[in-house]
Amino acid sequence: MTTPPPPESTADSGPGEALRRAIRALPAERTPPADSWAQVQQAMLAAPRDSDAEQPSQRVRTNRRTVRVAMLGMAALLAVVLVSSISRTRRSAGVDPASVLLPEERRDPRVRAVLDETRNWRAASTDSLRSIRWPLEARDAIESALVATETALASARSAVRLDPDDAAARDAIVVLRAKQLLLLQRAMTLLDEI
Amino acid sequence: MRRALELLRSIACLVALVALGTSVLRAQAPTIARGWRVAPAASIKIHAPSGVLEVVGWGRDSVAISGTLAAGETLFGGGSLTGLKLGAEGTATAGQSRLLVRVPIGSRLVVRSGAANVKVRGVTGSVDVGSAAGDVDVSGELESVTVESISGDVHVAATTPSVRARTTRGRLDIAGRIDEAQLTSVSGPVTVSAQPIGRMRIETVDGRVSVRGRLAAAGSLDIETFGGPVHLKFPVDQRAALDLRASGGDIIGRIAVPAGGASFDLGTAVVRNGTTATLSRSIGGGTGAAPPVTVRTFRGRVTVDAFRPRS
Repeated sequence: MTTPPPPESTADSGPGEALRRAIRALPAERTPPADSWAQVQQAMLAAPRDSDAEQPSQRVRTNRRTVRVAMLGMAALLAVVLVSSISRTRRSAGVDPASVLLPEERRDPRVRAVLDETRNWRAASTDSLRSIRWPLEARDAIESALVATETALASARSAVRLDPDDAAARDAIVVLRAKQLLLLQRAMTLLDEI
Repeated sequence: MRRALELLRSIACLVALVALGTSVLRAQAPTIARGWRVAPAASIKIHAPSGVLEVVGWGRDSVAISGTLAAGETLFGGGSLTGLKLGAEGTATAGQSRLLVRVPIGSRLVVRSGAANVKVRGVTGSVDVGSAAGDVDVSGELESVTVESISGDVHVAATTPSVRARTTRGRLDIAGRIDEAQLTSVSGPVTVSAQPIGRMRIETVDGRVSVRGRLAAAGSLDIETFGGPVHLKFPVDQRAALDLRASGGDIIGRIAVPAGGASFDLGTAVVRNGTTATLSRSIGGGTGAAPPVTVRTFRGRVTVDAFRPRS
């Protein structure tokens, strides 16, 4: 058995002063006397636990950094989840659609008709008796079409807000709304026929 | 050697089992064959909830249905000499229906399908097909064609005075000699390769529009999209009065000059006002009024190209 060389005392070394003293007290022989190791063990046990906190090792610092980064990541993830869930909740809770409409849209009877038809569509889709034979692909296509037209409407609306004289954007809003209405009416007629 | 023989024997057993299973399944699918007497121009309505439905015109004054039905579906049918209603009903629990319906050539046909793919050919009367999720394919010389599919693709290759076709996200593929057409989609692409193109109106929200062919002298082309790009391809000697507007998009392409000489970069004739690009210009030679081509798109790009027709 060879005697391990005494560890060099560095600013980062974990054990406390008592341990360092005990190590220094070890004789420079190849095999130390039995009580020397007992002294080292006692000193290690007696070494204060908070010495790491006072002089953290490189490994401890790395671990702490990792934990910190992970916590930051978790916080960011939590924020994203929270924001998306809030927006989802708002959507599902049914933010008043009128709040996003342009003033002329609020006066357009087609908008009311589309909202009514959308409500009818949702009610019909969840009516298992009525919609039992409606293929899922068709339902999905209608939902996608509603999303596509709403996205287009939002785009046209923002164009009008940027330039109130944008006649093309205003025309597009009227046309898209009419398309939505026709889409819902045709889809339900066709689906009820099958 | 023995190992190879064992392997061969195992494969043979497996093939035999699969063949047996398939034949058993086939045997279980109810086979149908039924007929009705009708007038040559009778109105016939066919229902097909799922599977495949093929409707073929024939030179007899009767309707015949044959094929197999999916488990859970049953055949129904009845009516008079002038009107007949038939098809499958019920909900398929296993397998697929495969139906062939023969109808008088001149009958007026109405088909309603849930998820069944529908194919119609050899009929000269009017055809009206509505499908929720199936693909629809109509071909022949027809009095008129009306096709609607919510999520399926629509393919029409016909010689007909009138086509009305509509999809939500399915593909619209129209070819043939068509006098007048109205094609509508939400996000499905619309492709026209009619020869010649008569009076045609195409509307889509986000679908790509491609039109290739000669516009008839008395024809017109009217296209409206929100974000869908538009690609027009005319013969080099096409006469047309272009009226194109891309509000947030662009207009590009190369066309023949009126004198019929070298091609001309369309972009140089485009007038830009803010984000709106417009172009009003006649192309091709000749005198008199040229057929109008009107394109309105809000976000899409308009491309006009020329092709050299095969002689």
